[in-house]
Amino acid sequence: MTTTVGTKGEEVSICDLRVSYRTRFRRHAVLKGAELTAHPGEVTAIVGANGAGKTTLFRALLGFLTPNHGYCSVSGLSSDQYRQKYGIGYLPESCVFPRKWSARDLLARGADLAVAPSDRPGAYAAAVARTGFDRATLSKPARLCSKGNKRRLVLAYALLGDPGLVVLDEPFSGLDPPSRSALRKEIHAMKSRSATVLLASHNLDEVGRLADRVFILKAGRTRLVEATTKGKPTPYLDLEAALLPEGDAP
Amino acid sequence: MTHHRALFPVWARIPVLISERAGALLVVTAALGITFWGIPLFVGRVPNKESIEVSVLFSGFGYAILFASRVVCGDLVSGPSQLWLQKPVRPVPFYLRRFAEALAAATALTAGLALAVRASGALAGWPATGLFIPLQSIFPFFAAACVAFGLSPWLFRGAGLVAAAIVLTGGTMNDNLSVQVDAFGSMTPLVQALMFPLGTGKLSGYLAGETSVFPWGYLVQAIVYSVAWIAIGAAGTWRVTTKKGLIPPFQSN
Repeated sequence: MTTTVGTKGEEVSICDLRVSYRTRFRRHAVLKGAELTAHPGEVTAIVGANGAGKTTLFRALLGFLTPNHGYCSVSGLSSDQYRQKYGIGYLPESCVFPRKWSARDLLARGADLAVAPSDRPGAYAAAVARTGFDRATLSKPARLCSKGNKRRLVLAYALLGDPGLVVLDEPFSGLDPPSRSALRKEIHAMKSRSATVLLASHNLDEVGRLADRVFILKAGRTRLVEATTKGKPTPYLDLEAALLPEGDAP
Repeated sequence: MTHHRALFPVWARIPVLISERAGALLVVTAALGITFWGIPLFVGRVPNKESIEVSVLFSGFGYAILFASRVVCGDLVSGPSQLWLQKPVRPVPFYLRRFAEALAAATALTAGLALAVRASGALAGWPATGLFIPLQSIFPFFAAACVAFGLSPWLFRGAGLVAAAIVLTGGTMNDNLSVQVDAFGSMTPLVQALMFPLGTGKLSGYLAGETSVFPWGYLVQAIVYSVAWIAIGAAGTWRVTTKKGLIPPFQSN
């Protein structure tokens, strides 16, 4: 069994987060005071239109972007400190692999970085099983895999070491129905081991099925739509209506 | 039985690293081969021992710069950094280890090239070369790699070219080879401090027995210069991975 620090669920708190990108001539504000909390053992979803700032929010949460104002904390630590100490499972929306690295190389390296030496072989074997790849797919360069296989590979990589906080950016994008089903099971497994799961998705149906709490990111600010949806799916149309511009209800 | 070793250890990663840069390595090797071997052979001159060693030496510099200049910016621009840094690693030590791997790859390739040159030279009856990697070139070799690493987190494009310019200009000035010092005019103290200070003349003079006093000053200068560039690289790595935000928004494809 894999034993790694930081495998328990973590309290996530994002407070008055403001992030802007500087272009050549002006500053473009993406997040304008986003607020969010996420709890262990829950799936917290963030939905929003294209360009609403979901990926930026995640990058700030991972400590990959320094906010202009506000903070992200994970169990009392700054997200950057937490990530360097315990690691955060992150499935980015798109990912570039080192040119010649195979899936096997990538998972082995991930195990080296995230898992205690004595647990590495077991964690690696579990990650390989999670991808469902055959030998040929495991051995060829990862960048040559299909889009769906790349997503499965990065998910398996992200879950190495059983991180306590898992951030999934468009996790259902490019997955076939069996892979979607497997991912749903995986997310339920994360919940059952009390991990904190944050996911961003345009797939409102999946969000409705999986999320315990849904935040809508609109004009750079998050708004909590339903505090609890446990046990029953969030109505698809409610979310869709919330994403539409004012006065544009269906 | 418990396993306590890396699943993808450094000795397995180095060949992968070399194969990733194979195209650029071939270009560098071919360019230097044409300069030092092709042109002399074309005009009917057999390359002498010195030019053979210099060609290996320059290839070593080229490989070191090629690998080290991509250590940080290569990861950040193309994107694998978000794979490594989501794991519990501290960015600066992580990229310093990557620099050590780059240096090992460059050293292994240079040694391999020197062996190949020596073997082919022996077969062709060319003059025998002395050391596999000339000893006097080791300090400048490491220093050149340090320059490239130092620039890597600061220049996302062209770090290798700038490092090559610093090394070539400084090196030729110090050895008084083909470039006249006066041609550069008076440099500002900052540029002077950054400029590559190491030629191979002083150490090779000692090794050739021209002087019996070991050039300790040269050695100290090489170490200080290399450490300074590693510190510049470490500061830049800390800046891009911690302070200013790691992954530029333009990198996702």
